Amino acid sequence: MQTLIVVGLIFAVSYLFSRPVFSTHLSLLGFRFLFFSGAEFLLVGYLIGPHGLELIPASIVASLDPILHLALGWAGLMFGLQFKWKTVRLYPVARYAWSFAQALTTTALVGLGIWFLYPLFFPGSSSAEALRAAAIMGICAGPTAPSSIHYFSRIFGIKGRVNRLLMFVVGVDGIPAVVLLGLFSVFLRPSGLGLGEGLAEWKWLVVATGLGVLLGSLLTALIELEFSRAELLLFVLGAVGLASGLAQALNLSAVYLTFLMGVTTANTAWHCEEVHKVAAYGEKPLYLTFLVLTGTLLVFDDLRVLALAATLVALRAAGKLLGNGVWPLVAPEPELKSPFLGLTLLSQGAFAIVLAVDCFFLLEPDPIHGVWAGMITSAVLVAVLVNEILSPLFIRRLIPGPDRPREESH
Amino acid sequence: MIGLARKMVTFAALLGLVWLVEVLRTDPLSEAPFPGLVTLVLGFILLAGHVFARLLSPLGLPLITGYLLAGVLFGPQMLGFVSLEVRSQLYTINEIALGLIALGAGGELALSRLKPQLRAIGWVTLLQTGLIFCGTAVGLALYYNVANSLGLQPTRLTVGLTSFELVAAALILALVATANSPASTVAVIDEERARGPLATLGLGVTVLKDVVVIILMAVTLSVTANLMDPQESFAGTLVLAILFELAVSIGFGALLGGLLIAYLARINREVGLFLLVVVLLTIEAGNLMESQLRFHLHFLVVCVVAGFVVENVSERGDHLIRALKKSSLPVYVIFFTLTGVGVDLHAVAELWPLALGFAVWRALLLFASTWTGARVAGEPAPIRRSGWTAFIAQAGVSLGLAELVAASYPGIGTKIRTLVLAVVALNQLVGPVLFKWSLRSAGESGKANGNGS
Repeated sequence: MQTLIVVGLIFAVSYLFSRPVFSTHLSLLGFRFLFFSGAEFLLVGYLIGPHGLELIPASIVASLDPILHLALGWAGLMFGLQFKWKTVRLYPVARYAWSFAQALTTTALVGLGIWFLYPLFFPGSSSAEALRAAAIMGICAGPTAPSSIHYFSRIFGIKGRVNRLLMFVVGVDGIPAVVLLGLFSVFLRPSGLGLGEGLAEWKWLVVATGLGVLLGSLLTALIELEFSRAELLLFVLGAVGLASGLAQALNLSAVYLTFLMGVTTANTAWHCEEVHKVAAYGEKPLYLTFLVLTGTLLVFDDLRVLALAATLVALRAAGKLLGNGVWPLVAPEPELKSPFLGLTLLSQGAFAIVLAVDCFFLLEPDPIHGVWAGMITSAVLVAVLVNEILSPLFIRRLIPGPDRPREESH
Repeated sequence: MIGLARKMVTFAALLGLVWLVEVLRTDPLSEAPFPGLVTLVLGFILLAGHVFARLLSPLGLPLITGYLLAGVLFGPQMLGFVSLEVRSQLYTINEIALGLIALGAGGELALSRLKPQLRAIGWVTLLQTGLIFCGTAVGLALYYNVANSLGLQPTRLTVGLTSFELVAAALILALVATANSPASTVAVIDEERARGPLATLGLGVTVLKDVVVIILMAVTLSVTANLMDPQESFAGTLVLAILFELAVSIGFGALLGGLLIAYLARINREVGLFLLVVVLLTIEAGNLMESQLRFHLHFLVVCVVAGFVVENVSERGDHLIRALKKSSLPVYVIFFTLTGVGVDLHAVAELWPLALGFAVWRALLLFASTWTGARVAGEPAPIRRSGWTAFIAQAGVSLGLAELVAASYPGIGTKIRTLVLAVVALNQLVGPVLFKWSLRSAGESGKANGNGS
């Protein structure tokens, strides 16, 4: 009965909330993008989850754990598959440098800010806890959602060099976050999980990196063995499942592992474009399910979640502005003259949610009872929602382009 | 040769990865489940199961036999990578896979294709049901009496049973022998992309017999209940109840088919996801009816009828089949590998002479009934000769019956279950191989196009 109600509720809310997406009314712009990115499914998940109306009990959420992990792995693979060396080398190194620099500046500022402010929110907390919270929030703050720039460029018909540069930035600035997540998963891993006791952190890093590369090579070997669309789907599904399961079993980052798997496959398989197509085919249903299930992890019982989220939004905006200031030092770009252009990179989107959920699972093997990890993750998710609403305002004002929205729906 | 070597290396690498987890985790894989085990096993099954089946395919074995053997290899009685506990955790995924296979089976039953063979389907179903049920019961009685008169102990299974219980056991085993596996038949036809009279006859009879077996089950269980406990009168209400359940299941399936038609006609987007949700909801509705109303919804019948309605009432059958085909391979790998994990090797080892005898006797009855039915219906000689191979495989229905009997009659039921597990294991391993060869020799392989239309 519960499932019936849940599915009915999901359909009803999705239908209701999809209306603003098709409106071209400007005042709804922020909310339109919120719904375009599927963020309403997070709220649906919260409403029906164990912390909301309790339509789905904690035990059912726990049993759907494999879907969440599969989605994490899928996101990592999709991201990694984009980085084919032949394409990567077409762009100047300086562009990568300032893309990474702005992301790392934001990560550093958010991380330091949270580390200093954390004792105010959680008096008496240990420094290790503060460090982990700072690391999670910093990592999630770095990347920008590519969909925002793409979506608004299309809506407003924005073209030009600045737009293209920003599109490049948002396409690659997730890399530092994934690498940091890999480091986080081995250097800040909880102990006492019955996993390779006594194995040094750097050895775990070798294991994680080696597994990612090995799984990528394995996927390549599989797709080079047989090649039909049905088999490709099978191999991608299987490889992501295996990688995500391995990551969870060894308490490593699923996104890091599958990102490396994707990069390896992109650079070793003849048919990597086909793999990307197949992965994209399965992305949408998995993404929506992922958002609903992630929503069930949200906790708002404590006002500190909202306070942390507000702090995160403010620090991230400051980080992006500072990152913007760092660009000219790394590689001068005459087009990037507006000192506020960093604010066009506020949108975080699905990738930040993916990183937050991955961090959550790394810190708390039991997804329901991890109150502390749940609060930190919730704060990140609330910040993501706020940033989704804010980002269109800045994109609209700061990127040069035609004023009038195109009369079309996506 | 290089391809084979690569497959073997890939397979070894997959085994190595699971072994690595075992080394790095302090708790062994086969014991307490740890976080990520289900996801890990799912990924492993998909990759290793398919690669293993591909390794065996040069031997002429169908992929589903490869998946079954892979399941046996990874299962608790051999390598121990997939425990029965993990298998039970994957129950919902397994049920979803079965539902999608059944939807596809219904969708393949186009009346336009069935029409020329309706007579043959009817006759073969009737004769198979009658001959196998009666023949098995009589055969078991003969075997028991002959062995007894020769002073031999027929089998450890029969020790301590009264004559009434022996008759009841024979009837239950006869019922089990009548059932076959629609999922296996569909999977082989799908893999071979077969189209023709043999494939249509196989599919039509298998699906129709699934319904007939449910009715036969109602009657048999009522009779056996009476035999086990002579105080109890013939439970006519049980027969009526099961018939009512069957009617409701068919009605439910028709409604579901209507819903699918409406979706395909009006929305027709994300069909795969929609089918997944529909099957999941059907499972949930079945569970709910079972727990709240004590009403058993026949899941397989519901899904087959829904697929049948979409194919024959609307023009959207192709859309349904296309959506199902896109994801059919992972579905088959998961379903059949998990079936293989459940194969009880101990039961086979313990009872193999009896199980083999039973399987051979059943095959003879199958051949005789199919040959006669096809002849009466005027089917050509190749169909008469090889039609029986479509019905050897047994899986879910037979195992379900065995579990039901074991739960209902703890003493004799448990013994019957052990024998059934052994027989099903043999039939499931041999059946798809023979059916594949028959389809090839009948020249029906590769005749269907990619989307099944």
